This record gives sequence, C-alpha cells and structure tokens, in this order.
Amino acid sequence: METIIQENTLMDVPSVSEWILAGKIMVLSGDESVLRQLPQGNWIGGTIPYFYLKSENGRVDKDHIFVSDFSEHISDFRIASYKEAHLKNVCLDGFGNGFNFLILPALRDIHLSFALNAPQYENLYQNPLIGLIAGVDLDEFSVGALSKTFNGLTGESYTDEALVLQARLPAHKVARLEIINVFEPSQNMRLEVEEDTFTVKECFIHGEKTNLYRYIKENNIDISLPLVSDYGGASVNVSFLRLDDVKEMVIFYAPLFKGRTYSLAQSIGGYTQTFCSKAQAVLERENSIIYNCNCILNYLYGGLDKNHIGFSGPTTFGEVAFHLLNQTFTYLAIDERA
Amino acid sequence: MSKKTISIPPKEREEWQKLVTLQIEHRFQNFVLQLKSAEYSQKISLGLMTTQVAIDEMYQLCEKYALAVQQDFKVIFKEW
Repeated sequence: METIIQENTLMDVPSVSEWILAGKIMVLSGDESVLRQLPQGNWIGGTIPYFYLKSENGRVDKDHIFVSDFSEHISDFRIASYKEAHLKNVCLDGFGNGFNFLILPALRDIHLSFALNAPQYENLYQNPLIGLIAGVDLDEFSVGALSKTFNGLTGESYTDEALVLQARLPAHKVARLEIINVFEPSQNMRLEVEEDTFTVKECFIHGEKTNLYRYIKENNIDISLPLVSDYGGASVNVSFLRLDDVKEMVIFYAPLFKGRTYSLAQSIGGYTQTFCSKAQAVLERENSIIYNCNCILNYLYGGLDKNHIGFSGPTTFGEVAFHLLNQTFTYLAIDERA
Repeated sequence: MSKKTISIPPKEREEWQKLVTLQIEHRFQNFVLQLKSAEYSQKISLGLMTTQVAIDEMYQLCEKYALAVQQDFKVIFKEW
C-alpha cells in the first residue's frame, strides 16, 4: 500500500490568507515579515526561512510560508499560548485523543526549561507532543535576532512564549509520533556529566574527569556530528552549538542529562543517501503521514539546499518529539484505531 | 467482507515482563515505545515503579498503537 504523505507546501501570502479566512486549521512556518501580513484565524506559527522540498532543492525563502493544514484530520482544536511557568501543563490541557503541536522560540528561557523538564511533564505520553523550535536567518541570529512564535487567533507574536495547537482526532483515529535519525552512536568518546546541563566544562570521558573543550581540540573532533545517547533503541542526539574559546567550555543545543551515557555519532557517508535509505523503510510501513520537519543542522551539513529527500517541510532549531531532540527528522503519522 | 481484527497479546504472557525489564532487548520501531521501554527498566531497577505497573502502562500504550506494533510483536510474541 502506498504511503499517503500530506502535501504540505510553500505558499504565497495571498493564498495562505485565503485559507485562513476559509477557517482552515494550520501550522505555519515562515519569515517574520510574511507571518506578520497574515489575517487572524485558526493558526499558530513560528519563524524560520529555511525549507527542504520534496522534488526540488531546498532553499532560503523569505517570501513564502510553509503551510501544514490539519483541517481534514482533526475533529476539534484549541490554540493556547504558554509562559514558561505553565508549560508543564501542556499535555494535561490536551484532548483525550489527539496530538499537541508545540512551537517554542529558540534559545530563550522557555526553550531551555522545556528541554530540561519535558521528560517529567505529567501525561507526556498520552498523546504525541510534536513540534519545533522556531528559528531565524542564521546570519541575523548570530547578531542577536530573535525567533518568534505567532498566535493566529489573536495576531500576537512572542519571543518568550510557546504556542500550542491542541488537536482532537475522531475516535477511530490515533496519532503517532516517529523520528528518522541518521546518526548512530560510535564507540568513541564515552561521555557522562555530573548534572543536567547545556554547557559542559568538566565531564567524564571513559570514566576520567576531562575538560571537554580541550579534549575536542586535542583530538580534532568533528562537532558537526552530534553526541548520541541510546534510549532503549532510540538514538537521541544532542548537537554542538559552539566551542567557547574564552571560557574553554562546550555549549550544546539541548541538555546532557546526568545518568545517561553519550558518545560521538558515527560519521555517515552522505546525509541524503543515508536519510533516503532510512526513509524508504518508513514509507514501506506507514499509511498516512500528515506532518514532518527536519533540523536546520541536517539542512546545513546535509546540503539540503542542493538536494531533495522525498519530503517537504520547514527546518527547525530543534525538534519537539515528547522531548527536545536535535539533528532529527520527525513526523506525525495517523493510524486507524484497531 | 468481515473487518480484520487487530489485537495484541494478552497481558498474562511472560514476554511483557521480560520487555519492561529488558530481559528481551527488542528495538521497537515506534519511538514512544523505545523511550518508554528504557524508562520502565530504569525505574524498576531503581525501585521507582513495580513491574506490574510498568506492564500495565506498556500494555495500554501498545493497545493504542496496536496497528503500528504488529511487526514488533510478531518478532517478540510470534503468535497470540
């Protein structure tokens, strides 16, 4: 049976506006300048100008909006914004059967709080908690530009609040969140930390206390590859944000957790080839995929501006898949309930 | 034409207990089951969860994703 992949796509502002005015329930990704032009309606949005495309090379596009339309699949919905203090309730507030789509602004307190605390959220696994970390043009990000989340219902945008689309599914449908991770742990650099943290100075490498920054420099480690931890067979990545040459510390896009073991990912031949081979297995077993997104680092290091991978979607500054993930392709599948 | 019934193995099967304690090390295709099976074994070994509660929770999740876990269960349970 052929997999039905919903054709989410890039659209211009007038077309998206038309869909909003028609009452469609959507998640939108685009540059702030285009999201700002949209009328109020049943949508939430996050900024990002980088997109990968199904049958053409990916691109930076500040004139179009990537539209994921859930209208045909869901039976009810709510849109809500959350401040950091209340985000822990995000799964409690959802419907009994459905999914929760979460958009967070990048590298703000609420993003960091989610990353550290999401594994302890009540009702976390009742329904898929899927979503993304919004982003901005990387050149602008490096000089302080902030990503934004948009509440389409009110027309408000935020640099410090999360937006959630809580979606209810008909009783005969069930939503399922899955990932494609091209990275696997290697036997190199068995790393542990003493506390949950985004920044690492001292850690344990093969059981010996070590300055991670110096270890990376001395061993010429390629930090385009993430660290990987094995969660019962799920390889979960933590990507390097940067090396701080002044403080001699290493900063990550997601936290490293005490009690977990991390190792450097194995080098992969080519992102596109490795991804497509994993994606083929997915397509053979899935019936219906209604959403997908992929990390900006896969776009950059995988050269998705010069390739296509059989899916279209927005890139992210981090993926929400119950927890915060990095360098991972995530998707939402809809099954018939048994 | 009668509708094909999708089921999961009964909770009494000993494989459930082996799954939550990682005596059967099976790599589920489903992401949430990958996350949860690791969490169950960790919580059981730390005394934070009983084996029965872990089995109940895992069974409930598998009931929900019954269609998606059929391939996994053919490997683990063979038949039921």
